[in-house]
Amino acid sequence: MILDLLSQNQNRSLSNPQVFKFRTNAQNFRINFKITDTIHGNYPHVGLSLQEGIMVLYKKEEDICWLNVDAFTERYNRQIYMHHLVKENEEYEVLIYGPVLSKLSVLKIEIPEGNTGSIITNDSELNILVAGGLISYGIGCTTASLTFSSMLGRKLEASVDQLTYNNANYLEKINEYFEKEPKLRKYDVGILEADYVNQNDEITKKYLRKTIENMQKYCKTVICWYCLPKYKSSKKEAIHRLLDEISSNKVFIEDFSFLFDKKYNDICTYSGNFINDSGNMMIYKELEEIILEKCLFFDMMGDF
Amino acid sequence: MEYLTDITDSLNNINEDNIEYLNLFEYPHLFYGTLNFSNEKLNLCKFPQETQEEMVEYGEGAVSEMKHLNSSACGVRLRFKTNSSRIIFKVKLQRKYAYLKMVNWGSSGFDVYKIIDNKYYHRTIFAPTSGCDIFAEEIREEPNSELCIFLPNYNKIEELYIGLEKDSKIESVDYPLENRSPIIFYGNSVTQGASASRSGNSFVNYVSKMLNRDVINFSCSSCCLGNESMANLIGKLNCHAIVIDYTRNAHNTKMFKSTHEKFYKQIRAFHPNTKIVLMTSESYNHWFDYYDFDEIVKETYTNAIERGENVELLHQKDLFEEDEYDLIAIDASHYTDYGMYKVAEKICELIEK
Repeated sequence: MILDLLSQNQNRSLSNPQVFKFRTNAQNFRINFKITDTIHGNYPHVGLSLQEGIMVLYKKEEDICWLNVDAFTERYNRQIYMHHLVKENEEYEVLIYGPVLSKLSVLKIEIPEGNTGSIITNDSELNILVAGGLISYGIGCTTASLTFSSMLGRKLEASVDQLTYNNANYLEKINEYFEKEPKLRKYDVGILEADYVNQNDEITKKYLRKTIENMQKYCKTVICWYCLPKYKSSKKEAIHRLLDEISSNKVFIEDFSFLFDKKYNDICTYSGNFINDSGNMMIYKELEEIILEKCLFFDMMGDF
Repeated sequence: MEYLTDITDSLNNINEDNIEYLNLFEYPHLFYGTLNFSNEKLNLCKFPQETQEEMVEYGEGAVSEMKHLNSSACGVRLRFKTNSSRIIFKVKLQRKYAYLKMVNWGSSGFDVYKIIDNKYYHRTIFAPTSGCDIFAEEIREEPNSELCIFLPNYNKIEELYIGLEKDSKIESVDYPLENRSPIIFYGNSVTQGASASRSGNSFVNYVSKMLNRDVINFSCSSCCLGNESMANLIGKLNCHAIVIDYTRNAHNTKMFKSTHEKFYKQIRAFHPNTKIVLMTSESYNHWFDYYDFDEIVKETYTNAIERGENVELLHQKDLFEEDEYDLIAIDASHYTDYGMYKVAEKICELIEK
């Protein structure tokens, strides 16, 4: 049996990494995939699998979270043996993240005859839009499952779209996208990386407010976060000056710069500009709390 | 960073005026975590020839990993201070290309810390991008700063030069007298340092930073098999404590059962009073066999306790909530830096208690 995961008619244009799920009871299966359009560059802080590979996780009925199976690139064997993880005939779900710095042109699952297999379509009730620059894009991560947006999607069972750019001056790019008045769906939560350590201050000044206003058109609530080292504290002040003028109780401004404090710096950051897998985990945990305690609570209570 | 085609190339982007290069392989006393007790030249290999040859018995994977990684600089630190106000490194690495599940700043990184009052402050990290193996980098620190550079956990340094201002001095930065006796680690790819995001963030190197103590890391991916030759080597070394992270490279439960306690006892015979920490498996996807492995480790521990031995058990799964399993490792077993930190914190607690 072949499951062609790219054949599903789902709009994935804003999904990076792309996310796929299927269900099977096979003790082994093979993943055939091809990638194109790999972005090459100076990436000593990016995992090869995030750049041009896939990441596979699985979940049995009794499991309380998805569990890592392994990462693969085209060069490595993609036969997945599950007999150490699931019992014979036991049904389980598989989650596959595509690459972040490449595109998938083929993604097919070969399941041995006599086993079950079906594609799981995306029917998430929670829709999130993540907009931002290098951190939100996943630069600094080893695998695509470890970006904070992937963690949010996985843990909250949410559908996550991304308007993220591998570009220090990303606010201009996000704004350009919105200027075209795209036909976006409505999102429960918008998450915006407000600034980046190397973003031109003029770009931030010109586009930050505008970007939030644009996101508000599509998102019920917007979380506007930043994570900046101490030597860039002038940027924090500028963000607050710009955002003080936004008089909405549906925009939450959050400072995650604690990642650069002594307690977390060594665990979560590289050398000032980049956040690693653990930094992404910390950002995910903060965002999850805000989404559950503020955004969804607000959504539930309405505008009373 | 400047990429070179030959290590003797002059630099175009980094000013080399008034700079004199030293071949650091001729200064083994600046390196910690090696077995260089008398050699005139630095030798990063920590595995006896006998152990290397024994890998044939364990299949192609072990042979290949031992061949490529026996001289990786895992757990090795370059510790020095210099009165030069400029410091340039020229490096030639063995491996050019990135690993599947590691960032290069981890596998091939030179992770620079400044030591102030026995505390480590991260300064910078440098490593080449995939496809490059010869490069130069300048780091800027106050003259006479005490520096500790954690070397690549998953690459062999073939050549290493330091460029300092002419007539400047360089000297080693030793550990405090009471911390010079090393903690010895024996383990697998996780212990070797995959997939820490920076070379200084393997749990072994975290322990070294947390305790400001010397360590020797006898870990090699796929080659942690409880060999007698390794037990003999570890047994002959004076040390503060020993951490045994032998589980997941054993091929099956039968093999593990027949080697784990035996390996522990071989080391214990040399070190009757030394604290030994036994680690259960790092397995975060409910892999059936590793639950059996963990029971075997516990049995070794319980038997040792009954004999009154100085032993501690580190049950790794207890360090994390189950709903964190997909966050603390990049795959089924290889920790992120947070995972590494938690393991290191527990090891320090067990060793110091």
